[in-house]
Amino acid sequence: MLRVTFSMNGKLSADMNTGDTDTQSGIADNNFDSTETAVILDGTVLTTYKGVGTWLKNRELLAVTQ
Amino acid sequence: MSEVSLKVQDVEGYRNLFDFNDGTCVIPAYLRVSHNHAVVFPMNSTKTNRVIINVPEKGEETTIEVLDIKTNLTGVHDIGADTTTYSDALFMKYHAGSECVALDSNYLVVATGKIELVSAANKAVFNGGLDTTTIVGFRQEVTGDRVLLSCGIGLTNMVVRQVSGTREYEVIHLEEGDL
Repeated sequence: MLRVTFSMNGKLSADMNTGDTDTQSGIADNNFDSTETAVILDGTVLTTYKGVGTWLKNRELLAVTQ
Repeated sequence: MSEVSLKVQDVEGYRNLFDFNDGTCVIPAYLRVSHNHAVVFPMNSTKTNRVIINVPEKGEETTIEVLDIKTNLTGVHDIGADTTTYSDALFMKYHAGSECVALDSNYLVVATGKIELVSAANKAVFNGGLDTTTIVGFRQEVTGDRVLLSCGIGLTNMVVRQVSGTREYEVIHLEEGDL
């Protein structure tokens, strides 16, 4: 299982598994705001989420958006 | 344990920004920081690439788009069905059902279509006649008061642009290679 850590200059981080979509609000551990969504997809299936999509086959998509 | 080297260059002029040399496998990365200009990357179409967009600090809300495109395509207009279809071997790298876009010369979306599997080949299919449109590709968009995006780029050119907001954003382009 692949684990990926988001890190944006230390301001935002989350330890997530491929396939996770974290839409919970106010998680103290990873500093997400209630409006933010973090998504990691491995691209094996077509998935779209809030403006992004795994159009390209078998390529990981990582996004923090709203 | 494999050894790799990392080379980071400014995308404009390819000035060397950072170089770490510790092996025979070199990973080239191209970096550009912008706040009001589109970042356009011509790329090696034989490889699959990756782009990373980063606005790390909280601030004004921004929307940034990434266009994964191919230029100089010719659409075939089926007058009976009133659809325009674009064919290219690179479309096989994409999932059937993916949302594709047709763009004008300013990289603005003029139509949205779908990748369809037709006779064992993926084609980009749009409703209506797009006789003058020669740029087709895929669009990703992230929005927020800070954003992060890392996605694969499979066509021959990439455009990164801030659709709304005036934030400074980092663009990192990596040659990811084929699976």
